[in-house]
Amino acid sequence: METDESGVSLPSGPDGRKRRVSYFYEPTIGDYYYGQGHPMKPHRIRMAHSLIVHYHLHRRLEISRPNLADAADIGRFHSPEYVDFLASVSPESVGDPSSARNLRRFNVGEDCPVFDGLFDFCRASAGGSIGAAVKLNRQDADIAINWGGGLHHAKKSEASGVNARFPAYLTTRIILGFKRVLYIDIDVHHGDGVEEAFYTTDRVMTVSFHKFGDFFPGTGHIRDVGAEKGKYYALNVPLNDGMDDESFRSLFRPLIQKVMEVYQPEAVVLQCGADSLSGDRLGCFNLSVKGHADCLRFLRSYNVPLMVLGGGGYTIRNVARCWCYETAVAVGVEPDNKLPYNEYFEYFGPDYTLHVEPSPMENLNTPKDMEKIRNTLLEQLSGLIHAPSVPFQHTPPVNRVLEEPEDDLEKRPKPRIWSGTATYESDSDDDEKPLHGFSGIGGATMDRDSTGEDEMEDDNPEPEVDPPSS
Amino acid sequence: MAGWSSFNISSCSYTDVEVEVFDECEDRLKRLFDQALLIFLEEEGNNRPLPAILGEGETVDLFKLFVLVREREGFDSVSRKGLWESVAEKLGLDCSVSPSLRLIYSKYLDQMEKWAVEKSRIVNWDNRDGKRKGCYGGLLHELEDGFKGLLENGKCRKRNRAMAISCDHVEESCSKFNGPRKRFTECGFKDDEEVGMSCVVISDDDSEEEGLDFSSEKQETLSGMLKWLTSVARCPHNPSIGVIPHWSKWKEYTGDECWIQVTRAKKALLVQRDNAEFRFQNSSLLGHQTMHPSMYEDDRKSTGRLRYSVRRSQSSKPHSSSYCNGRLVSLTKSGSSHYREVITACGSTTSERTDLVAGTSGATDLQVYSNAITETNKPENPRKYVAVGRHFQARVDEWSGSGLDSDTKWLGTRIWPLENEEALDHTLGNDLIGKGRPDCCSCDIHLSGSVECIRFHIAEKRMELKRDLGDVFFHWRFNQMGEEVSLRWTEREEKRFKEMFVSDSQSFWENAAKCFRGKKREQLVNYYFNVFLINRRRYQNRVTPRRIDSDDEEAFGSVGNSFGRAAVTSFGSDIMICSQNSQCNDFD
Repeated sequence: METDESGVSLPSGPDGRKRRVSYFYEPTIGDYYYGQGHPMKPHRIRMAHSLIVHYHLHRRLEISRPNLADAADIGRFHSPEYVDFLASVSPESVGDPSSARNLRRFNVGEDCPVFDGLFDFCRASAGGSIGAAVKLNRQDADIAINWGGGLHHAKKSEASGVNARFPAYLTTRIILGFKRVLYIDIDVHHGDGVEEAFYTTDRVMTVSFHKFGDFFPGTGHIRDVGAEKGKYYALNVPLNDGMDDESFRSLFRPLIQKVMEVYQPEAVVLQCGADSLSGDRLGCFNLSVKGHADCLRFLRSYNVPLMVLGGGGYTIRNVARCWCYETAVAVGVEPDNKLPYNEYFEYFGPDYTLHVEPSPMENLNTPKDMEKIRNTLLEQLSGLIHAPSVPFQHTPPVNRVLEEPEDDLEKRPKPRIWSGTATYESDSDDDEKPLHGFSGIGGATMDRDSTGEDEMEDDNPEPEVDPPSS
Repeated sequence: MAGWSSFNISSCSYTDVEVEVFDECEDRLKRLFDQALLIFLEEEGNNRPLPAILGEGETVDLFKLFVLVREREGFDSVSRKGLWESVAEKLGLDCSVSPSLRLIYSKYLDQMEKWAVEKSRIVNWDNRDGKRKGCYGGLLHELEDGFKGLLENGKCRKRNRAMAISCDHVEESCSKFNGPRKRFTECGFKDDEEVGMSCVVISDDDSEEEGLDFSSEKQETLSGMLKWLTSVARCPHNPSIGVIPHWSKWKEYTGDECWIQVTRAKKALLVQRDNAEFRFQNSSLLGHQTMHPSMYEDDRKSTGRLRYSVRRSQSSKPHSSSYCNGRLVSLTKSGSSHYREVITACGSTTSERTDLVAGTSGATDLQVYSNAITETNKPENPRKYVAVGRHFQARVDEWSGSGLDSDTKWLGTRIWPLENEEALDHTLGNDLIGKGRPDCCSCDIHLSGSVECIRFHIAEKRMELKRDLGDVFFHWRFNQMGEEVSLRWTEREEKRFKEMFVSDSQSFWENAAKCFRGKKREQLVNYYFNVFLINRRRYQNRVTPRRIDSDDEEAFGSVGNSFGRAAVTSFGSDIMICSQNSQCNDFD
């Protein structure tokens, strides 16, 4: 999939400029612990950090320790009651009847246990993400990484799911400095917290690739497209078990390319939840580390300020592998497959390699399903009011599906999607477009190499865009 | 079961759909089998994935497998006689997979076989066919026998208990509608335990008696039929019930006879039930949407099952019909619209029939057999919608044209690069970036790759790193990473930690806080991840390299007291550990 550029640092654009990569690490994060049996283990971030440093990647990074976000900061997104509650709760007070009501109210409990240092953990996570956002705001960095962030389920006034806490804060933060922010989520779970927070605004577009159906959190239907002003500014890609590199790529690239084209974000937030990796304890996808990192590689090639966050990921050795590799991708290094000796070397046995083969699991996402999803979503994207001053290239769906099987649940009746959308153009020019694959989808402004082999090298000069008319 | 289908065919005047007897029969058997299997697996807490998959990815038709093995007198017999290859062949699989097939059988079907064998012994086979039908006849034979027996109704007077069951349903539901007080939670099954399977293993009620002429009495009303049904249900052995004629002769009857009405009613119900069963099969797997149950287990139950998924029309309320705790659960709720569909589907024309069906729908609305259904964990997950409102969305202002508030406090504390290396020299040490470990090490050939070798190299690498990073090494708390953490623990503390974890990992963290008063929670967690787990992984890497798992905390019991360190320690390693220790001591 990727070319092997082992050990060679890659130029990041036509000017050969390297990306300035800023990385946030809270050294105490590894010792937070959600509790016995809880799959979320902040230790994985420490493992990733150890790998990163032992690969000497820190030489290409600017590394900061985040300042802890205080309650008032977090309160800018989350409801003050919720923040007060989190700040005050401790394992000892859980039994206290007066807090029982709040525990219920804020959905803190089994999935989101109260643990020692809960609030500090949240503060560190949020602090890192805010820091990353500020770095981008101030144009101090091209890419800002916080593996401790990206806990994307938390909502405005409740916790949710294992990887729940202050999620969207960072995005609120980042949009203060950018006109349009694109949030992309490749966690196996739907990024419900972030989607909900920005469901009605067009200043943040959310795109989530996730397992849908019989799966937490249950949201993320393909027909959830946003509301009010934010209509069509939420994109949901529902996927099935066994998703492999190739299928994922065949959706991710064309869709994101189209999004970049029509939305023209000034900054991108990529949530790299690693539970979409093969062999995850909770996830059900079958992505390899390289396949996972391909998303980052692709986005990096756009040279738009990019914030990279962690997220889920419950087979910790693979999470560390993945995030280490993605850090390397961010700085443009292809690390050796043989892991350097490091503190957690034994975790990576018996092979002690950076990459592991995906499992031979069946991919329940048929090419037909993929195509249908792609077409549906590309159509939805055509409904976006494209950024002004960018010639609108209407890209028709590739290879329209002829039959509409009645049992197919993903294909939505068009009227539901398109009702009243004036910008929707007829797809009369369908036939001029390539029928297969995603490679032909690119519009004139974003011509990519169709094989996708060398995104690291090529660069897409973003046309200068005026602020949106609003 | 067999009875049902034969009746259904016979009532083709009643429905437009004509189905081949055999296919339908087998189809239904299969469906019942699938359900029964689900129950068995569930009862065992056995979360094996369905469908069963062989190593090469072929799925195994468990029903066929079960039948084939039972035909060959069960698992033990097949194993003894070495018939697995022939079973594999019959399944259209390669002979080489026979060991996996055997494994699959033992994992999925063993319980069921035991059950079937046991049941067929217990069930009073007091008719003359008893012996032949005992445990060794093979499921299919039993089924076929039951089936044939019904068709050749003259020779072999049997009544299918499944029939009685379905009658019960009609009777129960109808009677509720019509007023008579009856407790719905009691299904009125003759044999609750058996119900789950009695439809599969057709049980023979020995009703020798030829037609007490009940049917000749014209029953004008529904209640007449219901009375008849009740009596049948209460006492299936009652000679007065008589024998239902072969379906080919049904046309000779007027259609007013109780049993004809009952079969029609049953048919009407059956259509819906099948539908619901199908739904249940999906929905039972959809039931675990919340994080908790599946969250903490490696629950891959849904793998391969949920291709069609998830979304059902909003209008359809939950329908569920399932075997639950071995009990036949019938329809619970229904939007009445659904029943109307059923009615139309059945091509019901006469008002009497409509009454009947409508009656059942009324009754089923009342959650018949609700005792069982309450446990079927919300078979339907309605689509979740995104909440919109000021309580949910973040406040996003219009873009004001300037980046706000890029407060420098958020930049955090820059740790790296060091201030005095401000101009980061990209050429310096560039060759190290992205470098992995060397292909081979200079260690003694006997030690190479051993625990000691690896420990040595890790320590070596850490020394290098410390030189490179300087203070930053401590800033990032590298001194609190890796096995060297154990140096801050006394041997006794370490031993206690292990013992506590191995003996009771569930409540370990609660107890540990009390037990290790001198240690903060962070220290315990730190030790756990940096020493304890590494030890465990080391053991796994060397002893069970195919089964590695750093994340399952529950399975610690299997590790053993010493973490198998004996298994991975080689002679003469003490010196190295010592030298390491002294190196590490000054990290503190």
